[in-house]
Amino acid sequence: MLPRIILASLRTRKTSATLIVVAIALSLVMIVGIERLRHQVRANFASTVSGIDLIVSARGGPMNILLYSVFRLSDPTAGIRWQTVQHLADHPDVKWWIPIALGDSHRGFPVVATNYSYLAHYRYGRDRALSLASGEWFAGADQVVLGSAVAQRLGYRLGDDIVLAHGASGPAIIEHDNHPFTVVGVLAATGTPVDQSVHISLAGMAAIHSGGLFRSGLPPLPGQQADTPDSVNAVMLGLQRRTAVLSLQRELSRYKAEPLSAIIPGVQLQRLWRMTAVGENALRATSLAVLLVALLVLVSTILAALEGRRHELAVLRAAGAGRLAVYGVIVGESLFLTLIGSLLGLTLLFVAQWTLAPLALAEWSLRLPDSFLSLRELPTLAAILLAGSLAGMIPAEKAFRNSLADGLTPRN
Amino acid sequence: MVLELDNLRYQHPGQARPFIHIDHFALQPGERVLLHGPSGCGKSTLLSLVTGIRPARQGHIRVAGKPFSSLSQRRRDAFRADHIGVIFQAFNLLPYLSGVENVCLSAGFSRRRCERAGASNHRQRRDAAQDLLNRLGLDAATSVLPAWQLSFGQQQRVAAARALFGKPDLIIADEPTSALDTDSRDTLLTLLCEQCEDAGSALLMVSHDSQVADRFHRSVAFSALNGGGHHAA
Repeated sequence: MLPRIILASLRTRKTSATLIVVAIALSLVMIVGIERLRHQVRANFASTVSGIDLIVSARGGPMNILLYSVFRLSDPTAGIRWQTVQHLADHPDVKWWIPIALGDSHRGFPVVATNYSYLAHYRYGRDRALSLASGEWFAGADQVVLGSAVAQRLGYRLGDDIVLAHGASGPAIIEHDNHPFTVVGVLAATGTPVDQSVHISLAGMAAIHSGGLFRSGLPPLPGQQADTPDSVNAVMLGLQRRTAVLSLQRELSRYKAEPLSAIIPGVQLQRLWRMTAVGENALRATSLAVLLVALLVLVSTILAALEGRRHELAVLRAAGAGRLAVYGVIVGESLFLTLIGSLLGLTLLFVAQWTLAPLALAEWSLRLPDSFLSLRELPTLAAILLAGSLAGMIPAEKAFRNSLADGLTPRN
Repeated sequence: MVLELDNLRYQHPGQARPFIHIDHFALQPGERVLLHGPSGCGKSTLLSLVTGIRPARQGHIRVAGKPFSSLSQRRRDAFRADHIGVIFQAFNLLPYLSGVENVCLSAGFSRRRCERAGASNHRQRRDAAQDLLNRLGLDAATSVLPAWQLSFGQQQRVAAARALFGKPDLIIADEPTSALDTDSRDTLLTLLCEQCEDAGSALLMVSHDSQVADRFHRSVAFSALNGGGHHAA
């Protein structure tokens, strides 16, 4: 009977009930949305470096090395000599190695010079290898393989000619227009910065910077490491045994030939999250404040409605309703409104995720979650519902006291 | 005795002298008593005490043989649901529920009254409520309308049906006819008295109108009852 009374009574107060539901829905969108985004960004970052054991670069700040080499969010340090790269390649602990040379861009997308190992050994997510959506990996120095987002955003197809610019980003100042590259392949989407990259061979990078022409007819074959530039910016390493990571890291930091830094990407990511935690907590505090405001609106709206409901409650009291039933009607109402608001909020989030997913993947290489509600969010939802019912306690107690003071006949 | 008041005193907070002071008053089972007096004399306060909504701190109220006024608030509420039916002057109904649903409110709070109405499930409750409404002159089509669509006279009959549902020992009526015209007043009172007779319920009705006294076994002036009560008016 109580649910029937709650629903029928709410139906007579549709407007204020709708406003409360919307307020709660929006605060839930903020709280859960921010938490999901945070979680997803972390998952994406972790996915990007999941297969890399060590990143070796010229000596520099570990955070900077992580950010520029994998995420292309920072400026590269000075290069390391090719002899050093050779030393790493021949090291008994090293299973695979991927050279990375940066510094050029194409219409805002970073250019990554590398070799066939990139396609063969780079792993993201749960041990997933890169694959080509169309075409093939570059073989010649004048060939380029595009990340999926680059191809999609710029509308390039296989066989198109593109020109690379010197400098990492922004409007091209110096264009290497004597070296047009031909698109020979497009990678499948990964949800990592790979999607945002333009891949060329190390020989191609060397050629555009040496100012020379391509030696047509002499393309280095895949696997045959003919492309040997003077230097690269970083080398990603995969080890024979992961347990060797720490000892190799120590060994490389004492490398005699030139000063090196070797970083463990997973460890650096944890440090990055510790750094960003302050900002995240500020966002969380903001969304909690929004929820608090929504709950205050809930309490004040129910309290305001109580004056007009004195007769209703007197009728219930006269019919035998005790404290429990009065609480049931009022708390039940606030719980119901919170529940509907939460469901509406989750639905809004779900629709937003679903609509924005292609855009987020193309623009920021961010995979949005595709779930309506995940197990991890249940405590948050339970806390919101609990807060909603606790909020109802205040007007419920007031309603009960009113009914005691009113006796049988409320004055108004 | 259905209702027994002994040495009952009540004063509003901040008042020095009791507003209500009743030495003794009792109601036999099935007895119908009219309590009349001018408005503002404390009749409604007395009814709030008798129904147990307002706690009585001094004196004793016994309902159906139980020391009603010394029960806890919670048990008093449950006891009221089981033994007392209440009719107000106005605003008796939840406006958004139908007549039948309003009558079923009593059933929702008291298993005893469901049993006495012979209604063990939801359907039987509705049937019993509908049956009671029929006897009070409301047909099935009218009974399912939301209460705000009913005329005032019809609303008071629904209120009477709710009070009578499950044959409670005592019906308390607070000026139930004061907003009705003479004809409607007579109809409602006739029906109410008939149904009280049928159900065996005692009726304590408060009214400023002593013209209706002939329908009651007894008529008591509130001023005579409230001997020691102090009134500004």
